[in-house]
Amino acid sequence: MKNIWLLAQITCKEGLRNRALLGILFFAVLLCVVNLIFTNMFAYDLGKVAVDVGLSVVSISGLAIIFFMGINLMAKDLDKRTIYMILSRPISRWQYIVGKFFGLGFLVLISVIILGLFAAGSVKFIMLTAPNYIPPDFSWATFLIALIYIFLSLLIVTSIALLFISATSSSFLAMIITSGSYFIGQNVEIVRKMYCQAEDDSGNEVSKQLVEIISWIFPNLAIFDLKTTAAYGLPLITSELLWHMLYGISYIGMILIIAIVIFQRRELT
Amino acid sequence: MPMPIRIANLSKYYKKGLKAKKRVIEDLNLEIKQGEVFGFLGPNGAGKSTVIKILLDFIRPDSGAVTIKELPVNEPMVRKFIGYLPENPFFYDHLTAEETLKFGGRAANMEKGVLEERIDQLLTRLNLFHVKKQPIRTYSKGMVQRLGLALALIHEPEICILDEPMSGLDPLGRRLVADLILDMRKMGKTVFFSSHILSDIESLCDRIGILNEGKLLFCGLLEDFVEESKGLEAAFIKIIETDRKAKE
Repeated sequence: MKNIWLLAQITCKEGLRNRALLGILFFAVLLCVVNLIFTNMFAYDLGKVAVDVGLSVVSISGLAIIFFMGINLMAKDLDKRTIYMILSRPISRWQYIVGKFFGLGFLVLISVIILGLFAAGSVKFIMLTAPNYIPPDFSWATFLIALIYIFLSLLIVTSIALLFISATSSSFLAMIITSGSYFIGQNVEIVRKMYCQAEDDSGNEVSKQLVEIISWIFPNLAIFDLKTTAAYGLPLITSELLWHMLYGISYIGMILIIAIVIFQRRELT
Repeated sequence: MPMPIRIANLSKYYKKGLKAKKRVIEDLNLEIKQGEVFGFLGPNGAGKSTVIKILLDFIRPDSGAVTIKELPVNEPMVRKFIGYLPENPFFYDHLTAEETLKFGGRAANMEKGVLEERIDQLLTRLNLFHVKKQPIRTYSKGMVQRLGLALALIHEPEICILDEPMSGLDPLGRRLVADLILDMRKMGKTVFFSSHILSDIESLCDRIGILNEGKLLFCGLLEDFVEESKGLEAAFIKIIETDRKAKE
């Protein structure tokens, strides 16, 4: 555990000092401004729009951190051979992957906390200035749970990014494949439902099977999206939340195991 | 006493295209004894760095056995005995020398108090103490190389594997590194280093190994190698050219 913690620490420090924190704070300020301007364009449901926009920005900036910094941090290890500095110590390759995951995870957590606070601040401001538009069942607890689930979905994307960077030697390729996986993950459930509900199943059994297989391979990221629930103050089902969390954690675990297996075999020339 | 480094029947091929393979190391046998300074020589592309990377388990051999203190190199704990300096060390640019060395020491299970003392001692010795709290991105090439050496030595390893330790150093830096290697010999540590600078090999090594196209051409005492020729450089050129002619 000590080695994993050490690796997570230096990864997080390197990321934070790499102007990431500055970027996060810039995003946070921008978020407040955008949220206030954007929300005021609406004549009604200001509170709902503010919550929706706030949570969306947290999610998008988390993705930006993974794509533009997380992937680069690990790719740099392999391209510039900074990995030699790490693996010439009594550190095994699985500890390297897990340590990197936690390091990047901390970075994402910090960004979610900072942006989440700013998002909450902008929502509170809208609610104070337009009290008539507060959703009747709005709850800060649901807002917090939505943030936690955004964080969980970002951790899934981080693990996927680690998998692809372990398997390929190009950070660009890893970024493309990871963003593709994110896109599929966001939409796979909708597509699967469309196929399942289609009355006319005369045609494509093969496509149905394909969609079914894809839905098993790619993560169903849509289930972690609680923006609408938070914005409208809809009730949450505890058992469903717990199952989704278990699914997310298991998926991360499986992806990390595959990444470790691939990375163990990789030659660091 | 276990042999610090033992390489037996080591062969390594690299993929060249889809099916073709290029042989990089051919049936290499080498034993490095306790307390000796061993110089690993060879022209560019001879396979020196490949052997070193196999010793660190960065790449895997196709056949043969490689052990450090009689333990297989794929066992991570083996690396607590090793201090390694790569040919071109790179670090996390935004960390400081102190943080980098702390990471290295903690990963090798050093105690906090001992580690802090050792960091100051090493950085002073390598003329880096004044920049210990500066991010590494502000360092010159020579400073990075010296920091690499500090990281290799932070946990007082029994075996030092140095890949071109003098590269990128000015004469003063080279002197500093040479003194460190001699100190390690005095302390009974084993040093395995590759270098192109023959004068360094001549002044520092007890034994040398000459590698050409993955094949060990000579392994033995430096005196035995240079005895018949006019110095190390002449003997080195002669043995490489003889090998090339034999292959033609």
